[in-house]
Amino acid sequence: MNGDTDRNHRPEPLDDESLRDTLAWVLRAFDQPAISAGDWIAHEVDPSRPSAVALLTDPTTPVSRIRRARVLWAALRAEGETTGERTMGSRLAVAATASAFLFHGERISNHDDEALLRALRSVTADDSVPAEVRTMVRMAELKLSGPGPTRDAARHPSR
Amino acid sequence: MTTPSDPSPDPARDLRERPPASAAEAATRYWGVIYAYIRQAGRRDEEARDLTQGFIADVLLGRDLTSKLDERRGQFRTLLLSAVRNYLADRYRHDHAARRQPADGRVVRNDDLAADAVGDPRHAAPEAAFHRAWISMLIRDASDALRNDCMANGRGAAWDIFESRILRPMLEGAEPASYELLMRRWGLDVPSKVSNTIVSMRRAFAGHLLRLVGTTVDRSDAAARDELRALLALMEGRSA
Repeated sequence: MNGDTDRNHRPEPLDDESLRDTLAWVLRAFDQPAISAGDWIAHEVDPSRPSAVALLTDPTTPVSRIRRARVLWAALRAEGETTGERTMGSRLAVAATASAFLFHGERISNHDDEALLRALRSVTADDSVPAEVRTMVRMAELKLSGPGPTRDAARHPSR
Repeated sequence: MTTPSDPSPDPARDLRERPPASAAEAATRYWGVIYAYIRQAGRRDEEARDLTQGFIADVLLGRDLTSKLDERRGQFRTLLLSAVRNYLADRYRHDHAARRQPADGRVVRNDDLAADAVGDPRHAAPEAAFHRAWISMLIRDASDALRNDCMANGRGAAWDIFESRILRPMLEGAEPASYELLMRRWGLDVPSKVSNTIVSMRRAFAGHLLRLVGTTVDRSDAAARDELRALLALMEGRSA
């Protein structure tokens, strides 16, 4: 032992919050890989709403952020590294459209009503999407369908 | 810019993601963790450094504690923690025995002992200091391994984006670099190039950290994940 080891003394330990946060998101990357990618993008868009659930189910999330998240999730759909990531990107991009419509009354995609309803139903039918997001998407689906006779029936009375 | 998911193997990657190859390497790697425990146990800085050196010489090297890693006897973290704790207790008993029976017959007083108990008051238990230092070591080593990996594989842009947006804000509280700055710096045409790079790099960082943790348990992914959960539980004040 040459006594020189302490020259290699490491820097001060990191603060507790950094340690907790890092361990938490690393674990989540393994436990829930698909949604974790969606959450990281949500964090990129709005660090105060650092998960897809927080971003999409908060009625006060500015629609500009929902638009931005939709674009980034759509890119994950196209360029994600795994099938799970790409599928989740697709689902969350649709959920962003639902959130903008439900909470802000804005259509941020070029879907027509029928295409959007189909897309919304694909989200609510996918158990890998967080339950809170599916509930929000279901509410958007009901809003789009309208009360009473279905929107389709109203538009196509001869059916 | 490319963001491959699984960088090709290179020597830099292997360097940290294996158990220390020698006792001397282990001594360097674990110095800060050992010191953190001893310091928080109430020893002043200089004394804590001496005791750290003593532990490394007498136990880590002298008793070849690191060979236990190869024997796969479970968590090296808890083994090291127990060894440091026992070492301090032994030294305490030894010092007090010497104080009760001084060689020259005089009664030695060391009133500095109480005054020197200057551990960080935010973290009362030496074990907590040990674990904070341990996790900090793992995270820094994972960062270093990822950086080396990126540099060896032509992914400097990906590393810069990750470091600027995630790592430095996370570890140092730095302001994250803006998307506009990063796009300009690396000639990217759309913001999604940045966000997808971040997703890819987070996964790569997580992989490095898991492998590093694996070197302290039995190297299986399941054991490494269990250890990660245990470390998170410790940081959240839950039992682990």
